[in-house]
Amino acid sequence: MAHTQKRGNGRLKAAAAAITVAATLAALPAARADTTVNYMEVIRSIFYLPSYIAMEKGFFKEEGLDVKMSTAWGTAKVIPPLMSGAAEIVLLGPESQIYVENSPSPDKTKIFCQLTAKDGLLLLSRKKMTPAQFKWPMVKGKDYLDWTNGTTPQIDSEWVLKKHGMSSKDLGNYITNVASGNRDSAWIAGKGDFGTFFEPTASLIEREGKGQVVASLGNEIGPMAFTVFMASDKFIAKNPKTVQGWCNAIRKAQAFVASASPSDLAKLAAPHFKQLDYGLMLSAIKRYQGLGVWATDVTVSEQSMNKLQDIMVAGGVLKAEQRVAYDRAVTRVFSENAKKAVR
Amino acid sequence: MAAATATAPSEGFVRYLAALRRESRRIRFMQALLVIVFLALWEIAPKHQWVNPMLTSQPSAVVEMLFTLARENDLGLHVWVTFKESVVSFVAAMGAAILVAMVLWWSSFIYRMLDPFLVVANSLPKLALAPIFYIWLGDVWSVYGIAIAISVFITILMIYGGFRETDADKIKLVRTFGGSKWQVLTKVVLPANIPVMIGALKINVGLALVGVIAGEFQSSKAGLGYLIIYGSQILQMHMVMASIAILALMSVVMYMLIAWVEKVVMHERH
Repeated sequence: MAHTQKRGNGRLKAAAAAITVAATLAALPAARADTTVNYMEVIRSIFYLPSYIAMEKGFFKEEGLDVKMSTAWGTAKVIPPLMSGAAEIVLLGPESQIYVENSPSPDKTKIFCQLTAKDGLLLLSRKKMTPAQFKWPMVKGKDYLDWTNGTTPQIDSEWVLKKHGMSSKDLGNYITNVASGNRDSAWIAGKGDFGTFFEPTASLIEREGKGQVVASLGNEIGPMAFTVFMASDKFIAKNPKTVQGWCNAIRKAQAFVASASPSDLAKLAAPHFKQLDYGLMLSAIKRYQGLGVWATDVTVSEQSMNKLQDIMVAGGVLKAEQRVAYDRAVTRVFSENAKKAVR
Repeated sequence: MAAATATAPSEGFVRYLAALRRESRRIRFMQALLVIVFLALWEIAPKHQWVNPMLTSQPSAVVEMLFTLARENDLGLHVWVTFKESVVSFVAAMGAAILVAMVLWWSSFIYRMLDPFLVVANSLPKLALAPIFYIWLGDVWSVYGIAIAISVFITILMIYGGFRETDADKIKLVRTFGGSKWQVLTKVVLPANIPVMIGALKINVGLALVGVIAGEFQSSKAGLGYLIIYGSQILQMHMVMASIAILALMSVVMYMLIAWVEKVVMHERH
């Protein structure tokens, strides 16, 4: 796990020091006028439940934050507004941080808080079987409906196959040419013996009798940075109080989500999922809560960043020499402060 | 008098010709300048960080990426896949459109029956059909499906329009000499409309490419549309821009091919 601290070590230390000072100041009691935060989530998903709970329970408000949320529907659509400052805090996959760090962009970003602690993908089998009956070698020679090449879900599947001594070459037909919007209908139409889906699609497919959940990729991979909050270095330096408040609010939401009943959570989140029927939402929340996909720790750990980059390198989207050192990707000051401030 | 001017053009005419030549040289020069200024700005602005290089990429990085793609990512295959899909689609769309136009010309009953549907089909945004085509035709054929759908209706309307405008006197002449309807079609209408068909072909190249790329966005294992999606997924604007640059080049090449066909065909006609 050789990390390369390529350039600007001094500048990095100075920046880290500045962030530490700023964060310490931010931990002081907040002034009362609400600060507006332009927040952008990468997609609308039940997987991001704690963020909606933080809004609905007023946790952001308690921190003096007035959150204006928008949904990007795609990682590539988050980065430009993040760079221009139109989006101040964003929720997306941590691989974006690695890409930005390796890009020629003069403006850099940092991960400062995590929302989910593992992959939320579920493996579905078309043939009826229980999770107990399923063994990974069963996918050998079978058609596997995956996500498109280079996406995190796709490289995660590759990783899990590798863990079980296989590769995508051992599969019958490894289907990676279906755009995300078409995957559900492709599966329903009969494509694939196995396939990976997020909730609530997994619950929908089960309800329609078109397949059963047999495994969780998150459980196979273990702790891994998967969905995180990011902001530009500029924004963090100028608005440490906002970033700190954000971390505090998310910490409260995580504690709430860990202990609340699925039905309470479903009712609270319902305004954000007007198109989704209540039964599916409840089933999705139950499953995710059971799997422990929602982080109980706001800090993105070094191990979970390493795991992410191991998977990226193995998946061919990152070269080994492009690995980004933990300190360049994550600032933990705010999340550590949040753990002291919110108990 | 006419012969005299042909052998010795007047001084004014010579000057006029020279001015024409000068102007077309000036136009060429300005075109080259436009390209150079555009490329230079695109190179310099990110370098001096007037714009964020991660979001805009720059020509030098695009060229470098082209070499990397050629070395590591089978660029030739991607170009070939998109080229093949486009050519097959526009040839198929063209063939289908000529056949349909012939049927419409043959029977005004069928034309009057289908006319409103053709108009609606033509004005419908075909990209909206992409997800449906995917479900109906599957991952491979949906690419062709979209490309053909996008170009076939406008081509039918264009070619049928041309058929109808065919010189009525010529048709009358063939009929007077006892020519059959089939002979009118093959000896008068079709040959008279070759320029119309070539015009349609020119429009079709662009439309077929739009359809192919949209189709590749939906589902593909290879092709320039695939590279664009892959590049944006891993936030590699260089890869996206390199693919777009090749697309631009590809449409120029295909347009030139058709222009060449036009020249050959027109030469034979006269």
